[in-house]
Amino acid sequence: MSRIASSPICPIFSVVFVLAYLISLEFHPRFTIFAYAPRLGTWFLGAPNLGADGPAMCWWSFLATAFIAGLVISPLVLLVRKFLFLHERVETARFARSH
Amino acid sequence: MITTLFVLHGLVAIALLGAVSHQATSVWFPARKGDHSFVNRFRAAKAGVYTNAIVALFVATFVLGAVAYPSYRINAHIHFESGWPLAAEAFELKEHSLAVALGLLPAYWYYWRAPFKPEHDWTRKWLVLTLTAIVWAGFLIGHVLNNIQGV
Repeated sequence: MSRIASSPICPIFSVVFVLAYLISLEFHPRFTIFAYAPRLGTWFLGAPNLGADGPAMCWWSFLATAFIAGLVISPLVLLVRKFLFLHERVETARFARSH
Repeated sequence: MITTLFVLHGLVAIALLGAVSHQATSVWFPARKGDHSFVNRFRAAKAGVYTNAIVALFVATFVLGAVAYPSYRINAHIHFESGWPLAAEAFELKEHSLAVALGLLPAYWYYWRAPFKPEHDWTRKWLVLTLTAIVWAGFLIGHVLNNIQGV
């Protein structure tokens, strides 16, 4: 647990989570994965138009979208960051050797 | 059952308010030496010791609220939509700002873990201030809406 907390992936996850949440909210219902109809007690894929049987709750879907985006994208961002940092160090060492 | 859940949600939220307010005031308004007043003692708390408690209490409050959400949607939100549009909008503000705060939590945990790096002082201060503002807003909105129409 403490290893995760001290990893630089945490702030990256936060940025991705917040951005993905805002995007899924802005583009609702296009990015809505699922919805729950509390009156019917039923789950739906996408955002259904339930009429009088509504409302359909999509908030859990926004959270799930943001969480999944954070889990998938933040390790990739960290990898790219590490690669760029390594590349920069190699270039600096090469420059120092040639001068 | 649902009443118990809401009472628990409220109680955990109050504990979270206390912890996050202590941490925010201790970094934004540090204690003065020689002042033994109640306010100064409130500000004299060691900010770092609250971090794990804040993370745990925030997650617990959030999960309890999310579990109670369907009941709120059917019993209270529909009532707000028909006659109290401002109340319905206030709740939307609460749910979205708290979701953003949930997203900020890993960053908060990262920057608030000891040993504290001095170059991250401002990040820590702004993160705890943002979290405090959202938690207070969420608590007040929830409390007022519950007074208008209980679940």
